[in-house]
Amino acid sequence: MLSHPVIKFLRRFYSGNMAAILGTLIVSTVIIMSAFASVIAENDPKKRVARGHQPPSAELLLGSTRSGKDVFSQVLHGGQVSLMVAFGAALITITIAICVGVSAGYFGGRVDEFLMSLTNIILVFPQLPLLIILAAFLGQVGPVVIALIIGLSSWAWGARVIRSQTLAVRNKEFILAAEVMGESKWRIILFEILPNLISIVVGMAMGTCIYALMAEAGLGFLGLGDSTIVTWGTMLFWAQSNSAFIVGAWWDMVVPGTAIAIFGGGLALLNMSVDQISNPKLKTGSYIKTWRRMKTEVEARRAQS
Amino acid sequence: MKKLGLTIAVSAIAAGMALSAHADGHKHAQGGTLTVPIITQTFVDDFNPYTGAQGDMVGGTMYEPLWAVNAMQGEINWRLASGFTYDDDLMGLTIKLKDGLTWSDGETLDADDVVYSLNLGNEDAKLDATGQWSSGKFVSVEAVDATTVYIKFGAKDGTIDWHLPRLHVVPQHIFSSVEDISTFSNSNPVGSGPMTEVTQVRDNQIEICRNPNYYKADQGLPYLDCIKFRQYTDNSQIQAALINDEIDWGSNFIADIEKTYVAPNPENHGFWYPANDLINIYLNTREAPFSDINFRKAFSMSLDRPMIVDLAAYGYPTPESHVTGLGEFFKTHFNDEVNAKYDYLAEYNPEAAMALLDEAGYKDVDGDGFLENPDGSAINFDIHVVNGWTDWVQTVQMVSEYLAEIGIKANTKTVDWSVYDSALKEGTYQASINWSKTNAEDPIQAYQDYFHTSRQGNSWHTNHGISSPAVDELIDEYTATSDADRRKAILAELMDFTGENLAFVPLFSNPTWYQYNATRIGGWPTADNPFVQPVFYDSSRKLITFEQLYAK
Amino acid sequence: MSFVLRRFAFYFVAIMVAITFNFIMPRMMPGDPVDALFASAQGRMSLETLAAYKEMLGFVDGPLHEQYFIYLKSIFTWDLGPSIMLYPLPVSDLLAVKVPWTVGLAGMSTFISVFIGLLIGTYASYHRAGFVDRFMPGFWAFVGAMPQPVTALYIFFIFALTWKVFPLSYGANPDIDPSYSWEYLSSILYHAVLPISSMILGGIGAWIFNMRNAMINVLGEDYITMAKAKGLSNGRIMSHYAARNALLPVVTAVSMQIGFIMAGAIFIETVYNYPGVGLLLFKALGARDYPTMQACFLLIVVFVLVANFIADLLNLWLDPRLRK
Repeated sequence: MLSHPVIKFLRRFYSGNMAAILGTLIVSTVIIMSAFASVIAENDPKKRVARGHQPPSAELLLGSTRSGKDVFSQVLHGGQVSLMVAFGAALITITIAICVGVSAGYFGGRVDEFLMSLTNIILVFPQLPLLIILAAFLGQVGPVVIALIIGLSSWAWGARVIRSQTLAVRNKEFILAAEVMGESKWRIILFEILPNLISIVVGMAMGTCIYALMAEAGLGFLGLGDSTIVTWGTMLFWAQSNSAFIVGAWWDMVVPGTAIAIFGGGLALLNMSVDQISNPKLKTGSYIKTWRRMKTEVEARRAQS
Repeated sequence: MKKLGLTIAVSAIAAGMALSAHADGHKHAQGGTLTVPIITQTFVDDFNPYTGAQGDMVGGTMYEPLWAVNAMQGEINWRLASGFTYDDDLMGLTIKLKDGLTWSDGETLDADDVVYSLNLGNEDAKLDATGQWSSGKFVSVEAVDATTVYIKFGAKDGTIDWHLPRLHVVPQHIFSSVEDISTFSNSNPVGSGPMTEVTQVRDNQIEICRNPNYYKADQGLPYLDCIKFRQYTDNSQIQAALINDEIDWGSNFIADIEKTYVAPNPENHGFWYPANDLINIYLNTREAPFSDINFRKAFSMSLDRPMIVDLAAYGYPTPESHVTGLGEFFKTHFNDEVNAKYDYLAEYNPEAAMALLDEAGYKDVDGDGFLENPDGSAINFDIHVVNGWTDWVQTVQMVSEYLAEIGIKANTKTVDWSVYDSALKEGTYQASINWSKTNAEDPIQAYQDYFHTSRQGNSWHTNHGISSPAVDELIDEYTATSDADRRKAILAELMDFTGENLAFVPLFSNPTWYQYNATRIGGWPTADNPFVQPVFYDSSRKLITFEQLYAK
Repeated sequence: MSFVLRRFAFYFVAIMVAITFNFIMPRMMPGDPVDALFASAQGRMSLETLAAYKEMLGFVDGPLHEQYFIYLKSIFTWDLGPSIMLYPLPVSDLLAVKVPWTVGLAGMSTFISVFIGLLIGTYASYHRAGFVDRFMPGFWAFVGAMPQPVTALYIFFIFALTWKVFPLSYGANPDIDPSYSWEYLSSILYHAVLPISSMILGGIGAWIFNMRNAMINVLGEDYITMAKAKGLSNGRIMSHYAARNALLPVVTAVSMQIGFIMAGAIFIETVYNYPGVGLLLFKALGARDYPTMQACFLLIVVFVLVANFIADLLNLWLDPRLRK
């Protein structure tokens, strides 16, 4: 079991990589706490349980909102929705990016030309403003619509990266060999090309998650989201419309804000580590120290001789 | 001063007595600048009262109304006019102007200007500030002599004087040469009000100063030299500016005002929130379950109004304790006898509500914790509220929570204005929160707006499915009579009709948002000195307030 | 010069797509702008007036393709129609006042962010596995993941409202005459401190991360190794070889980031009541002011295209092969 390639890979990935370990811890903690929100938080996030804007206490861990709801329960339940938006958007984004990128890179020619012109034009459209305008035109949008429009509007950069990676992989001997052996194109794409793109795709998915999380928060804050659904974004919206800072109820604003920062930061740490797999030059950490120590030793020996 | 109501059709002979609405009775030295916030994106060089671009800077400051109605004192405050008289048959109105009025450029202001301004509305509906041309009430307007104007009506009406303060009297010698009034920017305004001279126009600040030819200059009015308008984009910025003494007069929702604004400087920071209009949840009685009066009654009894007011709006609004259609604003018109019959409906009594529902056949058939209609169909309705009107969204959320407690499934549905607007007007909503016309000149306007069939499709408050020819007749009779006792009797009947049918569930009376900063400026209306309802957004009441302000 | 021609053709297509998008969106949506105008008046406008405005402001009648050509013509003559919030003020006038503030705010903060990012990124790339390299990117990732409005509100609350050391709102003191006097200019700087700091805090993490990676990539290139082998000093390598080639990723990154910078401007300008395009767009969203919304969007697209154009020029300068 321990020699399974996945385990081996994980070992290599985590060993001496504090960022990856910390990132994984943070991200999984937030996901688990949100997933088990109804177990961890006893109060219904939509039920009034206290007077308005009660500070954090033993009963209300993170205080109450203006309308007397439990902030702790809201941040966990809201996390469910916000994380679903983030993951959903990331899923849509990478699906489209892979389809477009791999097709363009592998088939080349007209297909490539057409898909890449499309991609380049979409790339010129500033994502976040586009998202905001779309949300405004559609009227108060629910989480599903937010995930959809984030997913549909942010695949272009990924498609371009995947295309160039596909191009690079496509000309490798093993692909040529497979082609010569008469394997079907789809088989080649699925079993020969895609596995080589995994680290890029994973990195991209995490990047999109962060972006989607921020976008959901931003849309919520601007009041473009459906304010009757509890998400991190709408929590920010309500805190702001109730002037949380000015009236001294900082927890109302800081809690959802920090939740986003922690999860986003954790994902960013993980993302940095994944980046190092696809681009080992970027690596940092203890192994560089080892390498540096060896290097000075070698140089010292050279100097002696 | 003249009391409204009883003597409404009598002209003020002693016009001179009505000149100054002095609250504390002594004069103040001139000087000083008042700073007022305006919510907008940017200021523009536009002082046309008709475009409404910067109407709040223009009305009541640059253009004086004919008269101002001070409903809080039950008075008419005579401005350009010294009085008006209805014809005996209520088919016309004669307005008498004061003598010797001038525009700020020194030209004479006379009946011709008033006639010109009134007639603008006949030519172009956009300029119909009083709305009386489009309603067909006005037939013609003419000048009898230099200070007398006669308006001829198309039908009997004794209520036209309520609408005339909204007229902008503009100088004919300027406006008649303007090609298109609806796009005219009027950047060098010539007006009749206390402040007409524009001294500064920037995108975040406009300053207007004293009218050199003001008709009340001999009384030392206005006390203040200038008004500085500052641009803000939302209430929270205004809250910050009030706290830091940057502005003097706020008309905005200020969160937790005692703690954030008053407490740091109780000497000078104050607020006063007298009642304004009534906020109701309108129910569409055409469809189940709202077609059942017992359901509507249970709905009303399930709500803890003081709690809603406390949480959704820091307790500033007044929870409504009657269901007969009027709110605190018209409390002098409350009819105790009628109210007594229905007041139990405005009390928080979930047990009684559940008992009532049970008796009427609403049972939880499928065991999901929510009641079903007597015919077994599920109850599940939306309460509409406009997206972004946060205090109301919170209110409706609490209403749905209270309904859930008696087993009724209701959803807060935040919608776009256009959806909300057409659903209310066309009667396609299920339930919807909205204001009411309960803060106008007379209570009849509220009932006209609630029930008169001619308002269906035009008003947000009429298309709930309850109306009757008898009620229409009563309302029409009210406007066409000047008999005070008859009017009172009609109101009582309408109140009874409202309470009996409960086409809408009243929640609370909105407050008039008003904050003052007495650091630099004095003379503010307060709860102890309530000489006017301090509404900045209304030309008349703004003018009455402004006239009392002075620099300390 | 086929490269240049191809790029211009691309820009043209991109801007046409943006314009077409602008044309189609409001026509597919329910409701119309006058209703929105009414909503923003929250009941302070009579229904009769509303009906009259509808007639005046409603979309042009006629078949869709005719409307489209009328729309195209108006865009290219910079006639963006009247704004709805501030009727009858033309949108183009409104933008003319707002654009300089946002360009200043976004430009300054981006410049400072890039500069700091380059500094820390370069330092980190030179001192691999040092403290800065190991902790800075991670630390700033958390700071940057805090939603920008929250960061901005926090700074606003502390420095402007509680300590009163910086102003609450505006781009400059409204009591000072706008002119090229020191008094006015210093007021602008004073008012810009908090908004710019808030924008930098939101974006700096990404810049440090990107600059570090860009520098590492550049430093790993053969010509750098070559220069090192020739015994050139670090300073000379940095200024003559690395910086020049790191410029392209920087400009590309800036052009990619413009959308995010503008979105950041929406939050920051809203919090500080800063008189720029971001706040304008925010208010236009709330009021469903379609003409203003569309103009802002188009403007942002133009910004992105300009940045792309600069990147293209740089590309031409750095890669002589493209000049053929």
